[in-house]
This record gives sequence, structure tokens and C-alpha cells, in this order.
Amino acid sequence: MNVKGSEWRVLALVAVGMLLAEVGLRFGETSLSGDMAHLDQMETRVKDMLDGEGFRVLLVGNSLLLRGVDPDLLAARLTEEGDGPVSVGMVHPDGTTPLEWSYFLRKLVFNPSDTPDAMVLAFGPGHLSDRPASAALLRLAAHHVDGADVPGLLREELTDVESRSQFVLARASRVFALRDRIAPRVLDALVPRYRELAPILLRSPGRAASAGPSTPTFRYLERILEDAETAGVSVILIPMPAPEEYSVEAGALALASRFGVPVLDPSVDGRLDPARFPDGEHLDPLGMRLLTESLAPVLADALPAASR
Amino acid sequence: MLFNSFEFWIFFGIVLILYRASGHRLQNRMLLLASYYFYGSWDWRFLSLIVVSTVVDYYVGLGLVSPESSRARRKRLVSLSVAVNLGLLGVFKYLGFFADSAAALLAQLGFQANLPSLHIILPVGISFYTFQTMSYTLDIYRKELEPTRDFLDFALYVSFFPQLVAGPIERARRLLPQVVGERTVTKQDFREGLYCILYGLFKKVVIADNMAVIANRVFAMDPASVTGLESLLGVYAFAFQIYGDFHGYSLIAQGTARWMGFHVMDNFRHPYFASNPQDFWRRWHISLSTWLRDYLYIPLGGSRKGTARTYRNLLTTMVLGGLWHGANWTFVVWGTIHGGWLAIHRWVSGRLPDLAPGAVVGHLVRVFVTFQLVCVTWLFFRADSVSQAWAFLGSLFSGFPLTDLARLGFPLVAFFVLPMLTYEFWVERRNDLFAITRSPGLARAAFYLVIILLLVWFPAPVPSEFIYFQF
Repeated sequence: MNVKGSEWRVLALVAVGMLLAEVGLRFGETSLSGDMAHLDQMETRVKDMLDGEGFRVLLVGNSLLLRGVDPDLLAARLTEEGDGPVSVGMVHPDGTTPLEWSYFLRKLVFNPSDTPDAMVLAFGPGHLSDRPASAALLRLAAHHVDGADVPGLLREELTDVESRSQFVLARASRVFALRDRIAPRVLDALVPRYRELAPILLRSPGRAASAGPSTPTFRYLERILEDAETAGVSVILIPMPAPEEYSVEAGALALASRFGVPVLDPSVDGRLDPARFPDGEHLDPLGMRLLTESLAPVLADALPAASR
Repeated sequence: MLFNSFEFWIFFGIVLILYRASGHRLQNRMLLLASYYFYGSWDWRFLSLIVVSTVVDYYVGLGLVSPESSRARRKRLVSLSVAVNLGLLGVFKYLGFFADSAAALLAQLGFQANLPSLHIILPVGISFYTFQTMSYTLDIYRKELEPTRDFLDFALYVSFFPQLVAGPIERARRLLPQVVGERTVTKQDFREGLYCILYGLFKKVVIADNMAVIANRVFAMDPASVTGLESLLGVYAFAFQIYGDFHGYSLIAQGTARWMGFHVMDNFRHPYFASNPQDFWRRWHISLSTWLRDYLYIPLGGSRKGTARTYRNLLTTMVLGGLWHGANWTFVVWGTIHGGWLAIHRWVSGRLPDLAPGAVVGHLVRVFVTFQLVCVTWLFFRADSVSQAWAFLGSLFSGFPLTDLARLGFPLVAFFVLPMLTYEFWVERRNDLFAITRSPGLARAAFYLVIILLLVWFPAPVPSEFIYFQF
């Protein structure tokens, strides 16, 4: 095949276009969403918390935490309840679970030179059990994984051609890595009420929500607890409220017991009113305030014990 | 190995490098191995079936031209080819269906038949390659083709991986000379192949997979609770799902073949711009419709034996064409509707005045009506059962409240489909499927850049398999 001339020039123009898109995204990605901006600020947030006065607490979670706890209010209440000032930092990348947390905590938090005094893992129903690395490989590749993590990830977790190829492409290209963020943004702008209605499409009538493994595992949670123990960071688990009652997975409770990690119940008078969850998942501002106020004394009691 | 997978493109990249480095004979041997590897990657057990079909039809082909072959012997030989190939289809595709249908019928008549429930894995692509090999022996029998005396070349003709599992169903007189003869890859092959691959991937990944999410959502609903608008949404979404899916696959098959110097036939020509059912079948799955025309409709007598026989032949051809798609009564009904529609169109043409005056307006009305009727047939094609299809059809008359699903679904369908239809209308006006490849380089670059970005940024939240792999 000896092809010269115009089509290679066309492909060269396409390559230039792709390069421009790549550069544009690298500089402008934080404007894609609040979560992208947060990911960019995570390291700064952790540093600010570590530079803070008194007892330093890092809250780790996802959007349930972002819309569930007011860190400034919590810090103020914890300071009032405790013996001295408390600094609270919060990291909450969207849609993340112990899978992603285990990687970015190693990168940002479990640092021998300086670690928080306590770390709170805030989670929702079913969040603590493992999901395959392939389910989050774009975000792992783009945001959470260090270069040193890559060989292990490719060897042990991403073992098929598809997931390895996508992971490598996502490490190399922002255009590819951010693919799951761009479509919702565009469709949100063009289709009325897209974000609100989109879950309808994936919700199949009569099908059980999220068919997981019959025997869930908790490797990533275990990894976090091991790393925390090694780094001397006390951990507290807090199940976030949901419209319907749920139980923390037995396997997670067993792990918590093994590592001496308290599991707190932050609920307000038993359960928050379902009306406080306008989208069926996240709290509204009033619910956030109620939860934060309710969480403060419970957490204040646990923190001195956790730090011993 | 799906065409929209990294695994396939790594495989194809390796094949292309080896192909380019090889001479003609080695190219064919290498392609044959690659094709068997490709097919075996689905399930290695399927290889035995394609080998059986290949061996039988190769020797039948030689036997048909043997000087010792009398007319009766030739008839027996071609019957053997048809029996083996249809037998493979019958066992692996239809046995369970016929057994279940027989049991159901006997139960209706009051007999309790303890027929075993058969769960036979359907070998991927069996409907395609059996038809492709049958065309070889049938053409030799008709003395329209000379058989090849190179078994490995024939094996490559049968198993050529770009079009093995979902077509186009090639004819030996088109593809076999390309296998046997030397091939070159011209600048035009590269250019048009590139277009086919990129546009094909776009149709599958962006159009088909995104429409599948909507169609699957609607068709998973209880038919009793589906509203008229939701039913319409599901049908329209499926119409573009199956078009994007199948046309996408055919384009990728064409493109990958072109990059190796093979010219595989066009399988689609903007079918939703058809203005009547006859026009639709000249644009949709052209390789199958022409196969059925040449090996079923015309041998039955075509339109040469009077009006009643013509309608019978049309109906028979379309019913069997429907059954080819799958072992379910829904496909039989789908084929029957198309057969009836073709017959009615034939009867009506020329008898009734054109009710929509003005060339453009009349044409648009016909295109619109044809598309709506095609969509009604898709209801039966997509439904899990005839009763589900009837229930969805009935919902079209039950009212059109604007539900959240309809409120979201229609704009999404419009978002994905309208730009595609606008582009294809532009192509249709030029009567040149490769019109974009003759446009200025900057326009082509912009087109490809948009396609690639859409491919990367708009995959469906849940990817779906190629529909025609089930056939």
C-alpha cells in the first residue's frame, strides 16, 4: 500500500485538530464541572487541612459527603465540643468509592512526613464493597493513580486487552480520559432537564438495582485501613443517611472490628425525612445542616478515642 | 472480537502489517489463518461448522463441473450443498424453535408432548456464511461460474473475516476473483476505506448504542403501562439502532476489506429515504435482498407466472427472509408484513392517482409514510413476542401523555439522529455514497475530526452488541 498525497494531509489536519482539543482540555478541564475543579484542588485542600491548627480531621467520600456535610460548620461545632481547635478538610470526588480512595489516599495522605490526626470515610449503601477496577479506569488513569501504581494495576486488576488499552489511552490523553464528563455537559445544555431525567434511561423496570457479586469483597477498604494503620492515622467510618434505611455490609463491619475502627451512626432522630432527599440520593441544604449538627457531637466523642 | 473493540483493531493492525509484507499467495494463507483466528475467538467450536460447509461446497463445486456428472448427478450434488448448509442452519438455529412451537401446538390441541427443551448455542455468523457458500454452488450449477481448484482460496472466500459474521453476503463471482487474483491498494481504496471505517464506527458506537439504551428501556416496560408516545419513542429509537448497528458493521467490513485491496459490496443506501417498500428493499440489507431475489424469488417464478403467483412468490420470499433473521414468530410476522406490503404496493402502483401533487411534496409524503410503515414492522422485529408487539401497537391508540421518558427520549433521538440524517441527505442528493471523499481536504478533515470526537465523547452509557450477530 503506497499512499501519498492528499489523505495523509487530511489525517495530519485531523491530528492537529485533536492536538488542539487535547491542549484545550488540559488547560480548561476544571471548567467542565465542579467535580473537575475539586479534583484539581484536592492536594491543596489536604495541605490546608494539614497546615491547620489543633486536631486535624480529613473527611473522605463522594457526592454524598459534598452534599451532606458542611466542613466549616462541622469544624466550628467540633471546636465548640472539644478541648481545642479542630481543622476539617474534605475531599469528595464524584462517584468514587474505596477503589479510587485507596489510590489517592496513598498519593495525598499516607505520607510519612505529615498525616491527619483522624480520617473519616463517609459512604452510602453498598459503597464499601469492591467493584472492578475496569469500572473506574478512566478516573483512576486521569486523576488518582500514580506512575508507580500503573504496573501493579495492569498486572493484577486490568487484565484484559480492552481495559488495558483504555487505561493506557486515558493516561496519555485528556480527550479520552474525560470522555464520560463531556457528553453529560453537552446534553445538559441541549436537552431540557437532562441530568434530572437521565437516570430513567438506565433504570430498567423489574430489574434489581446494581447486580453485584453474590459474596462481596472489601479489598480496597482493607487496603485503606492497612495503609492508615501503618501511617498512624485513626479512621472512623460514617454511613451517610439515605431515603430508606440500610445496613452497613457485614464484611465491612468485620474489617472495621478487626482494625478497631468505630462505625458511627450520624442520623437525626433516627432517620432524616425523605423529603430532605429531593433527587432520591443527596440531601438538600437543610438536610445538610441537620446532618452536620447531628454529626458533630457524635464525631467529637469518637475523635479523642480514635486518636489514642 | 467486536469491530468497536481495541482488541479487534490491534488484531487488524497486525494482520495489515503482515499482509503488506507478504506476496499474494502468502497473503491469502495468512488471511485465512487470521480469519479462522477471528472466528475462533468467538468460540473455537464454531470453526468445525464453517470447515464442514467449506469442505462440502468445495467438493460439490468441483463435482458439478466434472465431465462424469450427469444432469441427475449435478442435481444431487447441488441438493447436497443446500441440504448441508440449510441443515446446519436448521439444527443450530431453528431446531429449538420448531420443537418449542410443535410442543405448544400439540398442547393447544390437547396433547401433552414431552419434547426435550433444546438449548443450542447459535454459532455467530452462520446465517451469513451458509448463504455465501450456497451462492457459490448454485452459481456453478447454473453454469454462471467456474469453480476454484484451490481449496485454501475457496476457504478464504467463505471465511474472509471482515464480512464473515454479519455480511455483506458476497457472491462468489464478485469476491472469489479478488481472492484468486493479485490485489493492489490504491489511493482511492485507502481514502474510501478510511471513510468507511470512521463513519461505520460512528454509526455503531454513537448512533446505534445510544439508541439501544432508549429502545431497551422502552421494550423492557410492561406493555400494559406503555403510553403511545413511549411506544413511538421505542420504535423510532430501535429503527435507528438497527440501522446504525447493521450499516455501521457493513461499513467497517467494507473499509477494512478496502485496506487490503478487496471491494466488498455496498449493503445499504439510505433506506429511510425510500419512497415505497420496493425502494426500501433496494436500499436495506442489499446483499440479502438480492440473494433472496436471485436464489428464491426468481426460481419460484418471480413475476413471470401471473399476478397471483407473483404475490405468492413475494410473500414466500419475504416470510423466509423474515425467518432467516431469527427463530421466532416475530420475525415470521415481520417478513409476512413486508411481503404483504410489497404485494399491495405492486397492486396499487399505477392503479391509483398520486394523491400528493407536486414532485417534492409528493416524494416527501411518500418517504414519510414509508418510514412510518417500516417502523411498524420494526415493532415486530424488536419485540420479544408477537403478543408484546400487538400490545405496543395497541398503545399507539391509547393516548399520548407526555411522560418523563418521552420528554427525555425524543430530544435525545433528535440530538443523535438529525445530524446523521442531514449528512446522509446531502450524500443522497449527490447520488454518491463516497461523496465526502471527493470533497476538499479541509472539509474531509473537519468531518473526520467531528466523527472522532463524537466517537470518543459520546459512547453510550451501556454499550450493546451488534444486533445482526444474533443471526
